[in-house]
Order: sequence, then C-alpha cells, then structure tokens
Amino acid sequence: MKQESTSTMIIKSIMGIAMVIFLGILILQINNLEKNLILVKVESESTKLQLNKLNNTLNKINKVIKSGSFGVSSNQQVLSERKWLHPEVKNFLMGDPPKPAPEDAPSKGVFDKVYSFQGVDPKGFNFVIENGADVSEEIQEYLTMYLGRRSPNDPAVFYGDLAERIEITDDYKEYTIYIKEGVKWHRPLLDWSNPRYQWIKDEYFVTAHDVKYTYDLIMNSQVQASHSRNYYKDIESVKVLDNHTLVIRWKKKTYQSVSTTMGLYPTPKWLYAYNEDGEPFPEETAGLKFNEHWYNSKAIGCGAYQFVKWDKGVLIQLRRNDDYIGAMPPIKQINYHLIRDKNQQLLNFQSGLLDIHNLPVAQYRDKILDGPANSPYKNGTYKVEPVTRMVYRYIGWNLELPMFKDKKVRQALTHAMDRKNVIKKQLNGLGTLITGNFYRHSTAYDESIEPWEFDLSKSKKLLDEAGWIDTDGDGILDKIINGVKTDFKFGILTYGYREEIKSWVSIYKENLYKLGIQMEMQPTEWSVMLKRMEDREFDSYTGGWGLDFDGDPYQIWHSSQADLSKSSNRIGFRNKEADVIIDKLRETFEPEERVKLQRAFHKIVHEEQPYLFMYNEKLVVVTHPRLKNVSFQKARPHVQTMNWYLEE
Amino acid sequence: MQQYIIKRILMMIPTLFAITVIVFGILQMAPGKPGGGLETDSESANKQEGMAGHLIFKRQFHLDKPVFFNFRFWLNDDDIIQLLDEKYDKTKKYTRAQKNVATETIEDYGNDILPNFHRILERSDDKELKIRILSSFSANAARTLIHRFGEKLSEEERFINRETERENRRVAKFSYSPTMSSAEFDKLNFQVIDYLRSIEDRWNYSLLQKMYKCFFDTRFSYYFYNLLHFDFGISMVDKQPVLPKIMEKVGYSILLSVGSIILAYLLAVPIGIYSAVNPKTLLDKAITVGLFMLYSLPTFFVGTVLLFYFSEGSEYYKWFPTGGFKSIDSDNMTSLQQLKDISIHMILPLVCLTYVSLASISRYARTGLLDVIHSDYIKTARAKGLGEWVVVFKHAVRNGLIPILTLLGSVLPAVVSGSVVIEVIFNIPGIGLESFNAVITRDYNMVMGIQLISAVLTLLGLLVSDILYSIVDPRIQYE
Repeated sequence: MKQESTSTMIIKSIMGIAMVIFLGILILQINNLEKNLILVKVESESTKLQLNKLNNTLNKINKVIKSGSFGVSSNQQVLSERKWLHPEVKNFLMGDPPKPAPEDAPSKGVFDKVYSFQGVDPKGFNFVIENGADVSEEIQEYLTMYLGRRSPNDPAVFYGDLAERIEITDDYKEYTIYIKEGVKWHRPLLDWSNPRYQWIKDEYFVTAHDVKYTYDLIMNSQVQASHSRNYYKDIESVKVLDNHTLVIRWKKKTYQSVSTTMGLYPTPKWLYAYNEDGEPFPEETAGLKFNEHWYNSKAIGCGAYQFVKWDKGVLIQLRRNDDYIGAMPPIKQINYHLIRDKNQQLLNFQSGLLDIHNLPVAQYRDKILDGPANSPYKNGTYKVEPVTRMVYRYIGWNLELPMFKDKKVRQALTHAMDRKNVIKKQLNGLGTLITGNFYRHSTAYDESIEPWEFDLSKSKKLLDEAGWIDTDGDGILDKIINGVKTDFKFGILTYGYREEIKSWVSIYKENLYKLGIQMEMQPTEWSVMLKRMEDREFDSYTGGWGLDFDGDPYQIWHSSQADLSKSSNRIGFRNKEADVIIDKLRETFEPEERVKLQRAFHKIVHEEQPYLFMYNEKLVVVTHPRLKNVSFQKARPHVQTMNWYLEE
Repeated sequence: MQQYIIKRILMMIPTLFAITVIVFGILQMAPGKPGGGLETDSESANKQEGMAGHLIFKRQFHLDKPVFFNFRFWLNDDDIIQLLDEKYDKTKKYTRAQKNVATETIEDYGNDILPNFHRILERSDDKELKIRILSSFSANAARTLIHRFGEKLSEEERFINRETERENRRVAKFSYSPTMSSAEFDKLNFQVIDYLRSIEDRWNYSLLQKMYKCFFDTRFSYYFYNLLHFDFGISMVDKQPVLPKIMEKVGYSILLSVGSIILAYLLAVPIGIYSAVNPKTLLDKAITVGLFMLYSLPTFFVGTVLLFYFSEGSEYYKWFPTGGFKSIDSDNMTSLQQLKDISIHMILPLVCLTYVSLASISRYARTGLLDVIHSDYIKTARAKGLGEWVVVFKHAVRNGLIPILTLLGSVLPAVVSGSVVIEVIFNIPGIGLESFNAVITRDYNMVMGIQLISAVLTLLGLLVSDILYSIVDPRIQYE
C-alpha cells in the first residue's frame, strides 16, 4: 500500500469533520421545519373544527329564518307538531334517564382505560355481525342509540334513547315507535380529500328506515348474524309508517319482545348497502357483501361518541360527538388501550396513563390486603370499589352419564365443595355465594334457600344411599351400573383465563379424593373445549355465564335445548316441572308473578344441583382521583362514563 | 457461483410447494373450530351461533370442501342412508359426536348429494327415509352464489347469480314439516322429484370434468390458486386481508429482533474473543458462569422484574416507559423526537431479548476461535514476530468466526416470528402475539400466511449463510 502524505490525511479528516457538522445542521434544520409543520397541522385541524361548528350554527339560524318562527326553540316546535297515533296509550318509556353530570363539571379530558379489561383487539365494529360482549358493551354502548335503554336506578323500566315515545298494545304484540327527529349520523371516517368518497359527503339523519334496515339485515340468511336471529324470528312484521314512525308486530306474546325491541338500533343503509365507490351491491349477494363490508374495521353510529381511530393492538379512540342529541357527556375523548398483560395494566394505571383499572384476585391481595398502609391504594388516593358482576361461575355435570344421573350424587358432590372457604381464601372475598342460576342481587334470587353446606360426612351418607361403596378396598368408590362395575372416576375440563378457578378446582379434587372419588383435571384449550361441549364429550367442566337483566332461563335450562348440538344446555338438563315454569315465565309480564315463578325455578335447580353453583364474581375497580362522579351501573355494562368527568 | 445461486432459487419452488401442502394438511387436522374467538372470561347464553351462520362461514372459506381430493361424484347411496340415520337418530343409538359429524357431513356435501337423494327418492318406498331426505333437501339444494372478497362481479356473473337466487328461492319452498298431511307430503315428494329430474344432467360429468372436480374443487386448490396470485386470503376472524395485517405487525418485531441481534453480536463476540485469548483464566470462568446464569433466567420473569423496578408505573426508579412501542402522542412529534421516543421504549425489551442469546453466541465465538488459535499458521504468525493484536484480529478472528455466520443464517426466520412473551409483557403489537392468537382462534389463513412467509425467509436465510461462507472463506466453493 502506498503511504499517504500527511497533507492529504489532514485535508481528508477536515472534510470528514465538515461533512459531519453539515449533516448535523441539516438534521436540526429539518427537525425545526417538521416542528413548525406539526404546529400548522394542529392549528389547521382546530380551525377546521371551529369552522364546522360555525357552519352548523349558521345552518340552524338559516332554518329558523326560513321557517319564520323566531322565539320558539326548534325542539319545542317539533314536539307540538308531532301527532301520536294512539294518544290514549301511556308512553312505555317511563324510566328515568341517567342523572346528567353536574353543570359545573369541566367539559374536557381524555378518559383512558383498557379495552374490555382484557385488552384484546375486537374482530371488527360492524354491530350487526359482531357478537362479542366487548364490542357491544364498550363501543356500541357509546356509539349507537338504542330505541330504549334500561334505567340505571331501576333496570326493570326503560327510558327513551333514540325513541321518544313507544306505545304498546295490551297483548304486547304491537309496538308503535316514534323516533326522535333531527338525530344526525356521525360522519364516516374517511379521507375527504380523496374524490373517491364524494358520493357519501352529505349529512345524513337517522330515520325509521335505518331501524328497519337493522332488522332486515339480521333476518337476511346471507348475513352472519344468526346469533341475533333467534331473538328476532318471532317478529311478524316491521312496518315503516313515515320517516320517524315504525310499527313492529310480534307473532306471539313473549316477555323477551320488550328487551329485544328496545335493543334495536339503526344501521346506516346509505353506507352499508354500497361499495367503496358508491355503487349499490347487487341485491342477490348484498348480504354476503355486508359480511365483509369495506367499513367493517371502523364503527359508525349516532350516539354520544364517535369513532376516531383503531390502531390495531395499540389503541381504539372515541371522541365526543358535538351533534349528539341527548345530555352531553363531560368527557371529551375515550382511549381504549389494548393491553393484554395484567401487570402491564397495573403499571400503566400506576404511571397515570390509565384512569381506571380492574384488580384481579392476585393484585387485590398484593395491593389491598397485604399492601403497606401508606400505599395510594390504602391511603385514599385511589378510589377502590368492589362491583358485583352479573356473572356466575359453576361446575356443570354431564347429566347423561350414569354416575351423575342421580340427584343424591350431585348433592353429595356439592356438599364436598367448601364454597365459603373458596370465596374467602382463593378469591380473597371477591365473590358472593349463590345457590341457583339468578343474580344474587336481583329479586329473582330467593334468599331463603340455604346453601348446601360443606360437610363430607353428609356427602358420604348420600353417596352410600345412592349405592356408591368401595367394595374392593382400592380406596375408590364403585357401583354396578348396567352390570358393569364402575369406579367413581371422572374428568373436569378447565380452561385458562382465570387462575383462581384452577386453584379451587384442585382443592375440590383433594376433598373428593377423601371421599373416594377420583377427579382428573383436564386443562383444555377454549376452541377444543367448545367442540367437546357441542359433542357432549365431557364428564364435567368449569364455566361462567354472563347474565342479562331478564334472567330468562330458556337457553340454558329448557329441555328442548338439551337435544340441540350448539345450544347452551350443554349438560342435558331435562325437567318437566322446570319446563313449565320456563314457558310460563316467557309469557308473564306481571312483576310479582314473575318473581314467584323465578323463585320456584330457583328452588328446582337448587334441589336438583345440575350445576355446582359457585359464586357471583366481584370486580375490584380502582380509579384515579382525577376521575369524579364515579358510579357503577347495576345492569351490564357496569362501567358507563356518560356522567363522569375529569378534573386535572 | 451464479449458476449455483440460480439452481438453489429454483429448488426453492418445489420445496415451498411441499411446505405449503404439509402445513396446510396439518392445520386442517387441528382439533377445534376455525375462526372462533379467543377464550372469554364469561359467555352469554343467548348469543350462541346458529347453524345457518356457520354454513355461510364454511362456504366463504371453502371449509365445506374436502381438503386435497374431491371424490364427491362417487357418493354411495348406502353411505348417505347411513349418514341420514345418524343425523336423525332419536333412539340414542349413536353418540352425539357421531350425530354432529353426520349433520355436518351432509351439510358439507351440498349439491353433490342431490343425485343420491334423487335415486333414493325414486327407488325407495321407505317413508321414514323420504321424510329425512325431504327435511334435509332445501338446505342441500341451495346453490352457492358467485362471490369474491372485495371484487365486483361481471354482468355475466351477476346474471348467473340472479338465476341461482331465483332457483334457491324456489328450492327453499320444498321444506318438510311434521304437521304435513300425507297428501301434502306426496305432493312435496312429487315436486322434489320433478325438480331433481329437471336438473339431472348437471351431474353427468365427463371424465375430464371429474378429474377437474377431483383436483380443483378442494380446499387446498382454492387456497393455492389464490396463493399463486400472491393473495393470502382474508382472516377468518376479522375478515380483513391477511397480508397487510402481517406486514403491519411484522415491522415491530423486525425492529426488536434485528436490534437485539446486532446488540447481542456486538456484546457477545468481543466477550467470546476475550475468553478464547485468555482461556481458563479466572475472568473467563466468571464470564462463563455469569452468562449461563443469565441464560437460565426466564425472560418473562426478568421482564416483569425490570418493569416493576424501572418503569414509570413502578414505585422505585421511573426511568423507562411502562410498555408499548411508542407514546400515544407520537403522531405530533418530529422525526428526531419519534426516534428518541421509540428508542427509549425499546430499551427494556431489547435487554430482555438480548441477555439470553449472549451465552450461546459468545460460546460459539470462543470455541470457534480456540480451534483456530492453536493451529499452525497462527504459530507461524506469532513466530514471524507479529504483535498479539494483529495475530488475533487479522489472522485468527477471520477464520474463527465462521461458525457464527451459520447462526446468522438461522436467525433470519426468527426475525419475523417475533417473541410472544416479550410482546405480551411489554405490550408490543408484534407478529409473535398475532401468530399466537391466530393459532388459538384457528385462523387458518393467518397461520398459513405467517408460516409461508417464515418458510421463504428460512430458505433465503440458508442461502445467504451459504453465500457468506464462500465470501469469508475462499476455500469453500460451490459448483
């Protein structure tokens, strides 16, 4: 190699240094430029919003001027104009709407929470197709307006949301529904500078046709909405009288018709019936196209909040809808964070990112029971509130197996479960013992029924009576069934979501072992578990049912459901007496009569013990001090922030 | 060399085909339902999926077709009678699983079962059997409409669809109900036979048509046909195209794993060299023990500990962000700020990903170098009077580190597969978590997509490491 002269070396190094300095300056300048650009962007966005508002007000003023009615507020005018078809009938929507936030509540702030407390991405936001409770309780709750909603104080009555008046005939077969006028659809979330979306640029109002469209979609056999179709199949007809009035006729008088009708919501036909270029879908395949509609990964509605952003795996964002017709919620924006790991959730709550957190059993023990007294959890900085969820946990026995056919055996199995201690130790008190299928804090639940207590000697006696005796001295009970000597051995399917369930199942296993019963734990993956329950290929399993307010036992307990492969009556429960009650409940509207029937039903399932009923679960919700006016709803969803507000 | 590379690339095509077939076959054998949800915390009794919805779903993804070969033009009447017997079994002669399988099978056969129905209806006089056929008939006779994801249909196809729809509407009326009088039943029977006669020649397949149906009317061929167009299909869970979804997620994982690989090599190779140059000293032993202790610490534990001590949510040192890939308000940051934001988010995950691989890489480097350092040419170099540094770095390292290159080749597929544990603990929306979820929910298309991409990368990785060999060591030559 030739030796370079010193001078070239020096020149080269100087040039190198100069290059580096030059690059550095360039980067800094570009950075500055970018800063300014971002500022401009933010400013232009806020100007755009203000312009929009101004435009709206101008439009309103224009309308008033045109109609020539000064002095009268437009709302009052509408009310006086509207005519009811059956003015003699009492408005069905008599419930109290939720109390609005105090007037001096600051109207601002971003509410941050984990999406559905589990932090898993939803499948999509097409409300007709998606059947997950996460979408309906988190997103749809804020985005759509239902015809009527359950009153927070008394969930048995409804208040008007989209509907302003509903008239029901005495036989509960015909509902005449008047929906509010002037409810605007949210603007779809699209790139408006793209000429492709010019066709959808207009402003749209919610009409009765949109409500009927939802019904039509659910009943369209091409649409993947068969989970809701069961509910609406008893509707005889949905007729639109004019833009804001529709009549729904039911084929028969059923109690469920009330909640089903109230649960109807509008779906924008002007969006979902068209492809991205604004051409209507061909009629023959419209349902199939709807299933994969181009707007399905975004959500649209007419409610208090509108959908802003879904950053998959990171964030779902809602922003307050300034055109909302109901009481304006103070919180301006809701951020749902997709955080799966429970520790991440906790740390993000502690760091102040999240405003609300749900303490699972282990964290509850760490932070509240064993935590130091000066921790923010215990010194009053964070507000801690247990909320009883409308969920119960149970063990289901396969009633078609000979060993579980005998009522006495099932009672003996319940006697062997120390439920009080499980709640105290495994759950750290985060549960309420139940003896039947109803929510503990509802009128349907019969408090006078004494739970089967934990008593192994009683189990032993009942098992003796049922013929289960250890004849060969191998420590395991046996019995001759159909001429074959059978040992009392069975498996229990468990799946992974909740740690505490595994721990109480293993304690139960020990207790059964003392009685001479062998229970094998079979941890199973969820999708395999579902398949095995469809085929009824299990001995027993642990499960959890979420309850709705009606507490209709039909799907889980009616014997007609026991033969269907995809039904919720997985254990094959058949009881004539219970069937009569269930059928009668579906036609009874009188509250006291209903309670009587429900309690009679409760008594049967307590006596029969088709499930080993465990507990209603409690949720420990901790909230940041900046969150005010926090209260939890009795019915689901328990967390509803419409009248909460944020203080800095 | 060029020839060799071309040959290798051409060889990839049959290999990839074989991989596709095998992965596809294994996936179809997995128990559980495709496209289900992630496990839930509690279920709602009233929101169960009905049968009809499942059928639309199956047709959408061709799950009603056989996997590799379709011999449905040879369905046997006796088998069909047996299946019907199982489906409508009331005496509990068959288990519920058998009954469900029979129901699904009949449903899946769709139109293909109609010739058998026709023959049985014409010949048999078993009324019970006829009732069974008529009860299944309208569901089986319904024909599938032409429908492709996100595509517009041609006028011709729309015309066919309209005709099909009209026929389907007619067929839907042929339904049996138990309340029928025997005259009504006979009328229905007659109508159905009449209809079947009118469409009889649809099933007179020629040999060529049979061959076509056998190989191309199957799940695999539909999938493969799309694959040839670089179309990985749509996700069975959220009905969105798979490829963009993978690309979106893979970025996060690539950044993480490339970062950790670079970091690991930067740290481990010098450690390995040091250990090789000073073998069996106290420090060498201490390093070995220390690295293996790190190696045996599980990442989920270390990750959680790091978070509980060094993240913003901790009660101790609030140095690093709690998790995630970037801050929420990063949209309004300049590029430099974003760079800083992402880097600071990446520190803890990178530490977790890196410390595990330090042990293996540094050991590889150490042994590789030790082998070389005792060889004759190193002795010669030393004898020549070269300094120790020159001997080690110029002569030994170049040869001694060849084994490490092998590692680099095998690392490439890991780059896209991501790490489920790290992604969950640090809440990074990467491909690891996505593929894990896809397996759990039996999202066949998603799993296939991820597997195929990583298969391609594995093959490429092997090729690259082979080429690197010959660059580093001129003695290795490929013919």
